[in-house]
Amino acid sequence: MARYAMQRFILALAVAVAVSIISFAILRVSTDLAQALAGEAANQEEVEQIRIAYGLDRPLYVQYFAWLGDIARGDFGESYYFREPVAGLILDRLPLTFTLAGMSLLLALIIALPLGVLAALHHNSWIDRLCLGIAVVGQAMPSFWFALMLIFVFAVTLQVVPLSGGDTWQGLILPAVVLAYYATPAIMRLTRAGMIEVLASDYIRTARAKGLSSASILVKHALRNAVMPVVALAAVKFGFLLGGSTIVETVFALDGIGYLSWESIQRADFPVVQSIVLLFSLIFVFLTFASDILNAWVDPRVRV
Amino acid sequence: MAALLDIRNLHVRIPVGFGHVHAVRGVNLSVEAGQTLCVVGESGSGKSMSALSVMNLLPPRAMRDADRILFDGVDIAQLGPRQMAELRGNRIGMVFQEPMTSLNPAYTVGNQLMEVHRRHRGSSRSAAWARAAELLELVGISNPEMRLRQYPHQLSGGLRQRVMIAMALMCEPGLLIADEPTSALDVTIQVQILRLLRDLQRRLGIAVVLITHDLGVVARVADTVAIMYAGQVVETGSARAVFASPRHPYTNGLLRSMPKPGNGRGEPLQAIPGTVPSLLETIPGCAFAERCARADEACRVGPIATTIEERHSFSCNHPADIRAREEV
Ligand SMILES: Nc1ncnc2c1ncn2[C@@H]1O[C@H](COP(=O)(O)OP(=O)(O)OP(=O)(O)O)[C@@H](O)[C@H]1O
Ligand code: SF4
Ligand SMILES: [Mg+2]
Repeated sequence: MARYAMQRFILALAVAVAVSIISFAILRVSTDLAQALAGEAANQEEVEQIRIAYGLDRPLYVQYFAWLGDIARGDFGESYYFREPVAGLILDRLPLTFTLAGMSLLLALIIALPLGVLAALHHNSWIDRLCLGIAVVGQAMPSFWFALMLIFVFAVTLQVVPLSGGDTWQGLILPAVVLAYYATPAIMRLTRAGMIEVLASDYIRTARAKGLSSASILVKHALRNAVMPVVALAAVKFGFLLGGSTIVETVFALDGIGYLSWESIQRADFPVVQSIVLLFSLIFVFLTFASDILNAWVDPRVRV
Repeated sequence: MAALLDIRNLHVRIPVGFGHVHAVRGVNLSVEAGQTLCVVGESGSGKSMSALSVMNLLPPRAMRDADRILFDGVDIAQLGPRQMAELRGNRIGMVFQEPMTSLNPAYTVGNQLMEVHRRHRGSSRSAAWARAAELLELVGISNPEMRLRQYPHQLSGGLRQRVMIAMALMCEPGLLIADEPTSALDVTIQVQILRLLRDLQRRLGIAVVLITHDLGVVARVADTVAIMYAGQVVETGSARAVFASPRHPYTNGLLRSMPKPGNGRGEPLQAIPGTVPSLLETIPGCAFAERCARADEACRVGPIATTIEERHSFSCNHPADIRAREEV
C-alpha cells in the first residue's frame, strides 16, 4: 500500500508540475503581459519600462521559478481589477464553491446509486430504459436553461426558495440541484454497468449457491464491488462540480469562485484567471490522487 | 432404497436471439445417499445446466421444466425462491469449475466461510469461526487460522478450490454437486483435489454428483455413471456395469478414446469423428445418428428404444452386445 501510494504521489506531483508549467505558459504566450499591464493607450516606451519593472524581460524559466516561488509563499499576484492580492479574493469565495460542490455531489450520489442499482437489476426492461432516458436528457439539456426553469418554478412561482444569493443554505438548493443533475447520469451509468457486470460474476453465483438472502447478495457481495469504480468517479466529479460552478454561480448570482472566474475573464484580469486555473487543476490532481488511494483502500487486491 | 436426489424428465431451454437452445432434453438422473454419481459427456452436452437446475441457479432467462426433482422426498421443483435458498449451501453444497473467480475478492476467506454457517445455523461469530477453521483443516489446508484472515487473491487455484469445497460442506449437506471442480487446475493439483473429494465422500458419507470430462476419474470414484450427449442421458447405470459392458455406441466411443492407465491419464477425451447436432433445432430420432456407425434410417426418424435393466439403462435401437466391447 505504502509503495502504491508513493507511486501515485510521484505521478500526481509530476502532473502538478506539468500543470503549473502550462498555466504559466498560457498566460505568457496568450498575451504580452507588459502591454496588458500598461493598458491599450500606452506607448512603446512605457510598455518597455513596465516590462523591466515587473521583470518580464528576464528569460522565461527564470520568470517561471520566480512565479513558482511566489506561489509557494502564498503570493498569487495582484488582481488588475481589484488591486488586491488574488489569494485573498479566492480564499473569500472558496467556502461557498466547495459547499455547493459538496452538496451537489451528495445529492447526485443519493439519486444515482439507487437508480443505477435499480436499472441493473431490471436491465433491458422498461425501468432500465426510463433511467437511461433520464440520464440522456440530463446530459443534453443546457444547464443555464435548466437553472432558469428551476428558478421560474421554485423561486418565482412557488416561492419556496430564495431567488438568488448564497447567504443562506436555502439559496444553495437550486444551484446544487442543477449541478447534481449533471453529475447524476455518469454516476448512474457507471453504477449500472458495474452492477450488471458484478451480478453476472461467478462469485455472485457462489453467493446464491450458499443460499444467502437477496439483501446480503445485493448489498454485501454485489454493491460493494460495483461501487469501487464509482468512488474514483465521484472524486473526479467533485473536481468537475467545482469547475462547473461557473455558469451556475453566474445564473444564481452566487459570489463564488466560478462567478469570480467568469468576471475576471471578461475583465481580462489575468492573474486571477491564471490562479483559478492553477488552483482548480491542482485540486483536480489531488482528487485523482485521493480517489486512487481510496480505491486501493476498498480493494484488498490493491491494498496489499 | 429411495434415492436422495431423483430427477425425472428435466428440460432446460435458454432463449437466444429468435430461438431457444434446448440444452437439456428430458434428463433422468438419480443418486442414492452416500454414493457418487459421475456425469460424463462432451462440452455442451448439458451437464452444467442439469446440475444448476437442481440448485435453481440457471442463467437468468433459462426455463426449467421437470416432472419432478425429488430431494430427500421433497419435490424441489415446486419450491419458492426462499425455500430454495434455505436448501442451498445448507443441505446441498455446490463447487464450481472456476476457483479463481468463484470467491468474492472483497472479503476474507473466513468471512465468506462463516457467512454460510451463520445464515443457515444462526451461529455466533466465534462458533462460525471455529467451524470454518475446522473445515479448512478437513480439506487439508494447513494453518487454517492464518488462511481465514487472507483474501482470495492471496491463495493459489488449488487452495481456492479447497476453500470452495470447505464452504460447500460448512453445514454438513447430504449432497455435494461438483461441476468439473478440477478442470481449471494443474494436473498434479487435480489429482489431489479428486482424492480429497473421494476421501470426504467416504468420511462424511455424503452423496456426490461429480461432473467430469475425465473417464479415468469416473473409473476410480463412481458408484453410478450417467453418459450425456446433446442434452440427453444416453446411458446410465452402475459404474461396474457400464464400464464392463457399455451398450450405447457413444459410450463405446468414449471408452475407446480413453487414455490407457499408466500413460498420461487425465487428458481430455479425444473427439469422436463428426460434430454434435445443433441444440437450436428439435432433433428427430437419435441425436448421435450422424456420428454412429450403426445408424440406419429408423435411427434418424425415431423413435429410439430405451432399455431399462436392473442396474443399467440406455437408449439405442442397436445396442452393443453384453460383455463385448465393440471394436468397429
Ligand atoms: N447462458 C447461456 N446462454 C445460451 N446458451 C447457453 C448458456 N449456457 C449454456 N448454454 C448452452 O447450453 C448447452 C449446454 O451447456 P452446459 O454448460 O450445460 O454444457 P456442459 O455439458 O456443462 O459443457 P462443459 O463441459 O463445456 O461445461 C450448450 O449448448 C451451451 O451452448
Ligand atoms: S439409436 Fe441408432 S444412431 Fe443412435 S446410437 Fe443407437 S444405433 Fe446409433
Ligand atoms: Mg459445464
